[in-house]
Amino acid sequence: MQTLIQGKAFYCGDFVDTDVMSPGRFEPYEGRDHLASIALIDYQAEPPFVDPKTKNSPFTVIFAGREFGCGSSRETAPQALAYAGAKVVIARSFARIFFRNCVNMGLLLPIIYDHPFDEAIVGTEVSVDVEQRVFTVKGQEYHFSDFGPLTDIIQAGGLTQYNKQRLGLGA
Amino acid sequence: MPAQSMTHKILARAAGKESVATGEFLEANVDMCFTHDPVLESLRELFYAEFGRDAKVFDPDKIALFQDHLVPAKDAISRRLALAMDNFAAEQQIKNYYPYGANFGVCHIMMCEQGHVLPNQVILGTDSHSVTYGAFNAFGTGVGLVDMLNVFLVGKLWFRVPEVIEVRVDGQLPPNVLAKDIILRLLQDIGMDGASGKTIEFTGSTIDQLSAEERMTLCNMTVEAGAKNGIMALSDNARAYLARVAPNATLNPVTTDPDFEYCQQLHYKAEDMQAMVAYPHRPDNVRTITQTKDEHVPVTQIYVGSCTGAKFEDIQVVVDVLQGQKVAKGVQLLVVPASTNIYRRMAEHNLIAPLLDSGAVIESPGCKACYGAHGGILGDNESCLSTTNRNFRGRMGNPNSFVYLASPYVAARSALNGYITD
Repeated sequence: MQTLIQGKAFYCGDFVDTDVMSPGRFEPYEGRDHLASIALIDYQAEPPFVDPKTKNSPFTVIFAGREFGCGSSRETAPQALAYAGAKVVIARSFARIFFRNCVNMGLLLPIIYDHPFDEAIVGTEVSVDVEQRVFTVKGQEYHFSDFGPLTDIIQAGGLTQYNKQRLGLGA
Repeated sequence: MPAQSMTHKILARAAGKESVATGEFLEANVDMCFTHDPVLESLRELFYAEFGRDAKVFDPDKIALFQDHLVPAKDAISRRLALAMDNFAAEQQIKNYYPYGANFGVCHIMMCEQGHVLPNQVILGTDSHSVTYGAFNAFGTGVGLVDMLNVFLVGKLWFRVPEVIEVRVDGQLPPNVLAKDIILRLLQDIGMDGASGKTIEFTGSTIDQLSAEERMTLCNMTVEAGAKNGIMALSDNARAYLARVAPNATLNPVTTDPDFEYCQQLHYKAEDMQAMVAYPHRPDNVRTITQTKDEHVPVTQIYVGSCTGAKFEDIQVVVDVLQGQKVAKGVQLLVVPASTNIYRRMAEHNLIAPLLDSGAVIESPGCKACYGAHGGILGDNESCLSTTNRNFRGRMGNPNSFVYLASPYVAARSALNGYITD
């Protein structure tokens, strides 16, 4: 996991489900670029998360409301966000499978934080210092909690790397 | 020892502990797990890339594989995914493999019907509706690809011991009010994060009397409230079901200690329940049928399908209501039995001819339009009344369509009338 992350903010409201992040109608996916191009396609926002011209997202940090990633267990949902360019989601709460998937994949850091932001944050430059556990918006610092027993998995870069290190497994 | 809920006891046993504390993190041994066609090809590639070309699964008999989401092949890639599954099953000698063919269907229904779900087990699937297995007093929960990739290798996984919400339902349900109505009512009351990361434990005389399939419906949709698992004590009906599907199994059911402290308790009288309808685009956007009827919501597709609403009894309810009468003009009724076993029983119980008389189309088993990939996609601005579990925007394949969720009874009544009614 990269320790210093900087980029533009996107905003999602409450209960954004995995169906709008990677809809079933696009299954089966043709690969990583295809998945990136449809990330959050059914979430209605202006500007959209993915720029239709570049097929990638200009946004690095997603601020979200309650129960982000509710619904299906599909790993394509956090994958789509990450492949499109997101690196961090800061949500008031996460749906449990989505949260696990983020921790396990090691591509999208899930931070639980009761932040004060709404749509107006879209496009603002944000920096996240993972090691110091602080994110900065317009000069203001916000400190988030550590990941408790999940710290080791996150530091290893995901569950697979963690298990390989721990159990001395692998190719 | 602190008082334990049945979920605590299952996790403690699976982690090799005497007891566990709520909030504790532990590593539990997995008793049974599965994946299905949209996930397996990626999992297979990662399995060999990460763990070595000769890597073997922890125990082939504790793994099941299902083809349900993309069968019959939607396109060439879907077929490639199915063939990858053939290869993995052969490479790893997985006997519990249910490809499109003589004995297949929606993973959760197959898991139960094939006797892969037993009380006191930890059961994982790469599908959120794996919470269904609580109907048989198991700890069932959904996980993603990477979780399952690692479970396939090591046979265990990390969990946080959840808080437990008790949902007690006592009494006799009114006629034509079904488990689907109970869970929609609960969703209306607690919302989509009302049980986020927690257990919903169902208790009460109504739950004890429900059929095994109705118990499955209740547990199945607990994930719509964000629950980690839904669970209930074993009942006579659940025992009878298990005696049929797993006649040789020894059952070791668990119960919740009388002095266990639930984090929240909700009590309902079954007599107060009525048919409920979830409006677009959220499963907790629920109104009573009385309210909905007055609004005269027109529907042009009725979908009876999925792990939630196409079990044998669900389809029997539909047939009993229709009694061979024609569906309303302009309405298409799709019936997608959840498994070939259910399809066969429909034939044995003479449910097929009456459905055809009504104008229904009976599709082959599978997840189909419930998750929007194929097999009943809605048109722009079209409204569908569905016996499935989710009605998020675009869920049935078109972000410009509208999905309402209700019981099979309401589905059949609405099919006859062309608008949502009971």
